[in-house]
Amino acid sequence: MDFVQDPGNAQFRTEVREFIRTNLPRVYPEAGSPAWSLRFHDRDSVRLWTRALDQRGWAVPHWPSQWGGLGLSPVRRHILSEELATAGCPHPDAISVDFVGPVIYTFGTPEQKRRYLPRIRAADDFWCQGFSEANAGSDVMQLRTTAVRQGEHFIVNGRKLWTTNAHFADMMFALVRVELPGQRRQQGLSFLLINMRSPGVSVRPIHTIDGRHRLNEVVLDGVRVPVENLVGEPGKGWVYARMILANERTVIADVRSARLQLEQVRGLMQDCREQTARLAGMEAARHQLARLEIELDALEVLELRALHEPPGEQTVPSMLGPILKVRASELRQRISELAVDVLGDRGVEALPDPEPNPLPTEADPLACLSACYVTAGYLFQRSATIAGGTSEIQRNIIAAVGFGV
Amino acid sequence: MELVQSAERAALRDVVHRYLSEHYDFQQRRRTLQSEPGFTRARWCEFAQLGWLGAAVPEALGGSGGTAGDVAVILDEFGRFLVLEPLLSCAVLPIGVLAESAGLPRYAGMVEQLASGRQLFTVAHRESPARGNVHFVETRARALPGGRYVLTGNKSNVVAATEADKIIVSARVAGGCDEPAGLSLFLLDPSLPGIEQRRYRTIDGRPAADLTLRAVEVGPDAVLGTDGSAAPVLSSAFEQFIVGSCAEAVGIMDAVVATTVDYLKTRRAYGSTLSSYQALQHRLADMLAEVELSRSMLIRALHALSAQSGHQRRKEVSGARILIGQASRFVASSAIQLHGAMGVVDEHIVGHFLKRLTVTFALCGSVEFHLRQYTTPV
Repeated sequence: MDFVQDPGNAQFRTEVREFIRTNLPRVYPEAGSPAWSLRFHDRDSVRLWTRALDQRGWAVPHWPSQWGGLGLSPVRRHILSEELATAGCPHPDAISVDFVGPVIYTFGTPEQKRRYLPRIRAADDFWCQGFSEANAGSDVMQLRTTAVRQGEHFIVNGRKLWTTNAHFADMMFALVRVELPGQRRQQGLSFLLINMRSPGVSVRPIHTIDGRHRLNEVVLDGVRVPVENLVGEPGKGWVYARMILANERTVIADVRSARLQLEQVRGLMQDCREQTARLAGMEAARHQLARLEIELDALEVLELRALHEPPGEQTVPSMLGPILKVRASELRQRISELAVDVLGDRGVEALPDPEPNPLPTEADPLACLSACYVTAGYLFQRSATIAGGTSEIQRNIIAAVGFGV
Repeated sequence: MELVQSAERAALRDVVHRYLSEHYDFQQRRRTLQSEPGFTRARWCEFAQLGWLGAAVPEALGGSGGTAGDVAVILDEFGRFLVLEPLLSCAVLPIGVLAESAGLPRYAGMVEQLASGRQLFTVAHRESPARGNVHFVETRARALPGGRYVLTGNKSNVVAATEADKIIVSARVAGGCDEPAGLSLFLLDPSLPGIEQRRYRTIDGRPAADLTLRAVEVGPDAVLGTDGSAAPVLSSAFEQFIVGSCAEAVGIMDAVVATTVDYLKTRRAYGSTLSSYQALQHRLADMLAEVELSRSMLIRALHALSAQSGHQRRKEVSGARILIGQASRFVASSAIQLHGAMGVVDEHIVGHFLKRLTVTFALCGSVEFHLRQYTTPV
């Protein structure tokens, strides 16, 4: 977009494209085939690409140079994500590089930084986020998981819910309530790093309505965690977690994928139009697509404005982040609804169980499978207005900023 | 127009409701879904004995002698419990087709087989480019000497095709792919050579298949009704199917609201129950408004089925499909939103309502098609 002030940004975009053009086929020889675009990137596959990006400092571009980043500006980081998403590259694991990484390099001890940051950067470790519990979703003050100090360890007991990726994560960052000997349980929350291989950690899968397994319940039953795994001061965990939630909001807003989704619907409409040429041209769907696209045009500029907000003004809470989250997640839902409408009775098939491996290479079964993914996406999109702070909570924040409270 | 439910209807509703409350809890339903074929034939036969499969079949032919209004009440209750047995696709639709196409003695025999649960019938009519246009059929039936035919083409979303004992297939003996003239109906045995099935589950977990017919040869007795003039039969049967789907959807939406009300009254956040927050109250109010508009639209559509014909009836049915389809999506996705993370978990019933409703309306034809049908001048 032409609003970008720095001419170096265009140069940067060219560099990223060039990098993808030369490296993607090297890392994934099958990249670019129609079946590849449907492929689910597992841990190993994400690791390969993260390491390729890391050669340019692009695995963790926003991190300080001391820890292998480039201190890249939010705008350039955005350009990088855009280009990677457009090319269909797997994204380095956001929970590790965007959520916990910044907390560790900002608030962690020198030892924590040395120990964890290089492993995140190289995708040696994958992390999961242990915040939500059964009766504490939006309302974090209801969190019950305890960490009782016993000598050089905390003994952690509790149950974490909706934990994305816990089934393959190496580490968890959790919000817990610390109890120190001779003191009553702290009111505040503390931020603790827990090794998922520790005895007492068990993970139960939770399948979502699209039939997939991403979420889990994690039971922490007398898990011994070394005291040096506490990040920052006890009782200040919420301060650190807020930094993550602001990031999570942007990740979940995911404006770029709204654009990709929109293009996908346009493609589906063209397919259907050829078939239904004699039945008139899907006028209502075309108009609906145009309305959604117009809204997305505005939303992309809103995102750029949010990225350009001077960091100094962050002390005054901004409403652009929450507006972006609410409107982008709702827009993605509406796009996915249109996709399912356009597919019509071709869009009712459930994802096959188990998913075929390798994926079909012939056009017909591939089209069927691709329709299954569109429909599964429509179902999973329902979580976009719930995860990372519900739309109701975001609207409360927007109104609070509006009222100057 | 039945604005207030009659005593007979209320009694029927009560019977269906009591039966399903006793026999159809969510956990048991889950187990059925996880096994093959995704519904139970034994339950289907019980429905037959209770007179629900043939609810609108005349008593002289072994049915219960009811009307579309009675069928709607049964479907409404089936919706509340998300009943898996395919009443709409394997009773309402084939009975609608048979009633108007087969001559009386033959019809009596087939309907008896269907309504008694002895044979499972399904209809292979949809083709994916049709998007709800009942006249769109590319499958061809080429006439051979001696009244035999060879059928070639593709059919999509044939509900319970693999389980069916008989498949009613539409095919074209003459005319272009969306012309009303030239459509015929054939009664096929699914084991005939040349019928290939690609079986899958729809997102609501129910079994369906896409059929490929490769030169399937049938005898003269396979033809149902008058050759080449099945269009009005199909139109009428699918109108009943769509209105039945709307009735089921209204029942589902009632259950969605009830589930949501329970959740909001018990779940607590920030020191009080969710039901005390105005933002959530207003969303619930909008859900209730959508349900009551839908129930009203259903009454209108049932009236159209019995009292109107031709263009006016088509228009009313399309209107109901559009309004109730739109309401369903709003109500079911709002319920997920109000349940928070619990709403997107497969173990909880609330997401299953959205999945069922999505399939229900996709099988009724696209919004695009029905808008066009609604706005077409007489």
